[in-house]
Amino acid sequence: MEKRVVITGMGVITATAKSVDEFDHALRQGVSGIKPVTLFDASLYAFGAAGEIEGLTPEAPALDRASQLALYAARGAVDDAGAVFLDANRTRAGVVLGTTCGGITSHESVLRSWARGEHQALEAMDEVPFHVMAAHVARAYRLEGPVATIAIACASGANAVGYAADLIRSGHADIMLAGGADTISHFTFSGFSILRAMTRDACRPFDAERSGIVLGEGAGVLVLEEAERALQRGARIYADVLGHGYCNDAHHSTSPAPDGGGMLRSVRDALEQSGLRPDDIDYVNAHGTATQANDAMEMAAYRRLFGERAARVPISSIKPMTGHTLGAAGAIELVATVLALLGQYVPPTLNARKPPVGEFDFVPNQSRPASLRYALNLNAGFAGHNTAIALGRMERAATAKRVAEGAA
Amino acid sequence: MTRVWLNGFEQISCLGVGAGALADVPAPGHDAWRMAHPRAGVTSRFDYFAVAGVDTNNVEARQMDELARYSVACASLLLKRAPGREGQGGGEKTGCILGSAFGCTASNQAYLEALIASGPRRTSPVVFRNTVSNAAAGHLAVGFRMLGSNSVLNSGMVAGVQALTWAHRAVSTGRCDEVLAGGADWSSALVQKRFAAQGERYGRPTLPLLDGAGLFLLGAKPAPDCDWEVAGYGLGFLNNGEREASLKRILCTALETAGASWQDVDALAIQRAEGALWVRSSPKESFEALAAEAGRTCALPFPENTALPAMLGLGTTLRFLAGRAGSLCFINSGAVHRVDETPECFLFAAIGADGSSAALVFKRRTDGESDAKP
Repeated sequence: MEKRVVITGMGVITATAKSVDEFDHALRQGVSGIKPVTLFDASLYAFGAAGEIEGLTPEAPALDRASQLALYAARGAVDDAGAVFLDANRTRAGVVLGTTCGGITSHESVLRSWARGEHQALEAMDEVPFHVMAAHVARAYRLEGPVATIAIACASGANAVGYAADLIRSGHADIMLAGGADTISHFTFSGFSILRAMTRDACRPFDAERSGIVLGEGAGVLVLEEAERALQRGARIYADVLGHGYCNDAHHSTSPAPDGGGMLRSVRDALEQSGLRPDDIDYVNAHGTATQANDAMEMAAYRRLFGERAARVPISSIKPMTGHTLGAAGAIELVATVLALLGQYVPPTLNARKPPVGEFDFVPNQSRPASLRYALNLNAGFAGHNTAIALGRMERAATAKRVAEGAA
Repeated sequence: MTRVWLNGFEQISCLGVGAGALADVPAPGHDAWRMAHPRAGVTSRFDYFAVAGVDTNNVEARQMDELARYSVACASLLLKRAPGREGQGGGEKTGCILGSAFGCTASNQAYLEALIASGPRRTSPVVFRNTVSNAAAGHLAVGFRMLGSNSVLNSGMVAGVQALTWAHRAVSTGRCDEVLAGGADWSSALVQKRFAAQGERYGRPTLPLLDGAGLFLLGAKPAPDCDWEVAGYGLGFLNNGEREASLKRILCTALETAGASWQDVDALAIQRAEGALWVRSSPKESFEALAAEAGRTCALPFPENTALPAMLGLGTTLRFLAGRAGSLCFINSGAVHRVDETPECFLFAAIGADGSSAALVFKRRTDGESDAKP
């Protein structure tokens, strides 16, 4: 029998916040973390601003910045989850992280030093492989369960959470730390610039005047637990992870399918696993990168998914606030979605000038209260990958009832 | 749950193009260093696209990096040659789960070198598009119309075996009818240089990083020449202080999910770049004790490699045990005295250099067995 998976802890670090509480405040207030880049010389680029994290104190300087972010978010999540590892069987606890670039700053550092003739020690390359991040987290918490790293571009973080949830659902784990981390760098700035995907203006998802992405860095980690275990230890339960879908567009190696087919199939799989229908969805945390192609794809998908109801389902993207955090985006945005369910509000899509009128509700510029039971978190990445996660609000009454039944 | 069948294996590596090329590998197959070292780095020189029949007369194929090329060519070999599948397949219930140790690191390096040398305006968008580890999976989805579940693991050496466990889950739950799964790698010169220095740390020559691809086809229905059912799996991260117990736990989980016990195991392979195989003969060994011994001797960390050794080790062992080909690759035939009968239950485990581990249980398909639930 499939197990039920719940979220009992969250940790996040973005340009807008270094804690979940700060993040919640920033989402409600519509705070933008986009500012001029200081980590490297961004004057080479037409748009020199990003969602850069300031004041990060590296606790382990030898580690790549991405690993530091991942560990920071993991610590926040574990602390938030309370005594999740007390009496826990760590052979049934693991970690899955998603990333797009892994230790890219270490990779660049080594190459630059060699180009200068300085020959930085090759040991720095040990931080480059993507799986190193998850191994650091596993060792920090002495985890002996499944440990994995997912790399499907900008859908990595969410897919990591979905895969981790499925490991619990299938009985291979009881506790999983799941999320994603990525940093800003010359690599990503130049790459997205040369692809002409970066804006010179501002990130305006779904807007008629949208012109591309703004990059960001960050990490988000969630503690997933098998529900009965969480209830028995009296954990604070944030939400149910109800379903997960991860299909490929199979359209083109770089451009998304214009009809949103891959995203729709991902949503279908997530809803099917959840036992939900499109009419049950009260909020969508969109991928919403503000590129012409992605946002058009998503709008096509929403039309097909919701039909006439599309105008009444709030759909928002928080990327104008945090920047596009690539492999971390899905995980950070899942934290935002959980906070929305908890706080019964929908975060805004900032920088809206000419949002679509009448057909969609992209929650322009200001958050607002909302009655939310079920939400979808959607992400898409290069090479046609998509991820959909369906979440359900945990009813306080139901939580208390189950705890009481367990104690009886 | 739906039963999951192993319907094919193909590979591209420094040892040749196609699973058939491995049959020519001279025994003893366990001397992996001697076998692979002279050939390391030659994978890219094979005209594997031509052998695999991939149409290269298009922009997409010409712009792929080596990681994508290995994956696409290997998949072409597998999908076009799979009995009963020629020219068919694809659709919403066809998935792809790939694993890689180093992923797009080589393309990342190529892009960074150009960026450092010439600045951001002289970099190539074509190269940047290859700097995602899932580019190969995307090409496969497009080329073979894989509209179903699709993901990529970059979990080090066991990424390919992890991919197989995920594919098992996708088929057994009915989400997919068929999944292409396995491992592929292409490492950069700098990464190779870094890991070539491993020999100094370990005081002996280490297996060079192997490029290429090893892919399997898992399905809800057995192909005509299917030999094995993928019956269960286990995943874990070795505790270096309690390796024996740690490894046994992972293997026990795999057996439990397969509805099997140690008494059922006829063959056991533990693989970590260079591995070992034991097959039940007379007198019967205690496989549980063998697994414990393997855990005891597996001190972490050990030399890093790509996802490929585990794929070649698994693929050749499955064929060997089924009596289909003679040579084992990267698996020491150690205690194989004589294979009197084809093993009924085979337990395979791969251990990564960082401690990530994955185990799979394979049960021999008997005549007439199909996807009917047991």
